[in-house]
Amino acid sequence: MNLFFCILFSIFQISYAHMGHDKELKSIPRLTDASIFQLNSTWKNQKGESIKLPDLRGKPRLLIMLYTKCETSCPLIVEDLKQISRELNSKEIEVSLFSFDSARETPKSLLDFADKRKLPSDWTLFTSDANAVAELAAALGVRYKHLQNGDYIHSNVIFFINDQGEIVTQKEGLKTSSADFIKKIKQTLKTSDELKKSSK
Amino acid sequence: MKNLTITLFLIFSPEVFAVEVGLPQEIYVPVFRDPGEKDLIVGPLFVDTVPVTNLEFLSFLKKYPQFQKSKIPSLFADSNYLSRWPNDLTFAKGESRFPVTEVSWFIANRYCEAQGKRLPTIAEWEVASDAQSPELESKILDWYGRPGAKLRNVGKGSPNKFGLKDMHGLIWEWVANFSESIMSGDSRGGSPTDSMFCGGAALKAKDPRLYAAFMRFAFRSSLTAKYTSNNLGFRCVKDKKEGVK
Repeated sequence: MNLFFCILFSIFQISYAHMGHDKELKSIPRLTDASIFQLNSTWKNQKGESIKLPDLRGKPRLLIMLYTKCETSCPLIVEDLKQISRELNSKEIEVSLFSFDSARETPKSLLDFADKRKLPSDWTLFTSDANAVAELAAALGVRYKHLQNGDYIHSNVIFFINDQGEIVTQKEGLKTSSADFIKKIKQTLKTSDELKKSSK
Repeated sequence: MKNLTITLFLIFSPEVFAVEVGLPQEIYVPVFRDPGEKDLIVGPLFVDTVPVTNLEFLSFLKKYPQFQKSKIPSLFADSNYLSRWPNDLTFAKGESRFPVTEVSWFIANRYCEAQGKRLPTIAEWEVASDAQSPELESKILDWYGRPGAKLRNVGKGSPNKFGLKDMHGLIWEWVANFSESIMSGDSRGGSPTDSMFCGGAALKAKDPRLYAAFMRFAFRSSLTAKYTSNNLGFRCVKDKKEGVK
């Protein structure tokens, strides 16, 4: 008898969950064809909170992939990112760092890195499993290689993606000029502002 | 009668065409090494005997309509995706046992996942293909030298030493970690590719016969995850768990 109620209750729960889900789907327009938020992977941030990639929808974003035990190029790319973020000086743009290191990265190692590198408190760092990393890197066109000593060789790219998760522009390599990258981002933000105003 | 034939074909096809071959544990010796890169142990594995065919891919598309050519988002495949197929659920006439090609890494990945399998890694593919064996070298180079060779039914080639067919001479194949092949040296100091291209002695590799391995390295480094091409297909592998025959 207990079992019967248990099953009945589960059925209710499942159908209830489905109802909620349907409602959610209706209110949000479909993701665009090129949106990286079509990847539905789950990540953990430096506070230990779980998020799904599509949860990041709605804000324009600077995005990089790195790993926090990296001693060579990663500190450089992070400094680069700080500089760009300062120059843009926009409250609207979020900043996200995704780790390659599915084997060793934890919310704590992300938090330690944020402290050590004095990252602004509103930046978010994420870690997930090897599949999620591989798919995100593939979608962004980031190449990487995991070496047996735990290090990663990887391309150094800073992406700017719009609120729908489409790549708008990217800056490749270290020590390259940011001027064009920043110009393009400012243009994009301006255009989307104008669009918003005209639709009101 | 025709329906019956097709039904029988579908019933028996997994046994006849999609059988797997057991690959024992082997050591993979990378031809082009990054600093700190060591030999790798691969296997034991089950490897698909032949590449995935159009017919097998069709049943996947029926189950996962979101990957049909009219519905595929541009994030997952370029505009050439399945362009040999006249429409969503029809492959070109007479090509049921041709290897499926014009499939991106994303979709090849999802296909294998749906079978409870995965794409092989570079190391696994290199070992399974027996590509570094001297006897195969000239055959492989001969095929690389004939771009645009025509597709045909899978399984016609002679099996290699593991019993695998069509590892060379029919199509190129996706590997899980293709993006590990990085040609430009910009993200790393002293990469093997620096010495590969600097000066007249282009290849640091000791053996000029490793040219074929270099071709595969170069090909993989030119790929992106949504790329598709007429001569690029895939096969899947499955880990062989301890104690399971």
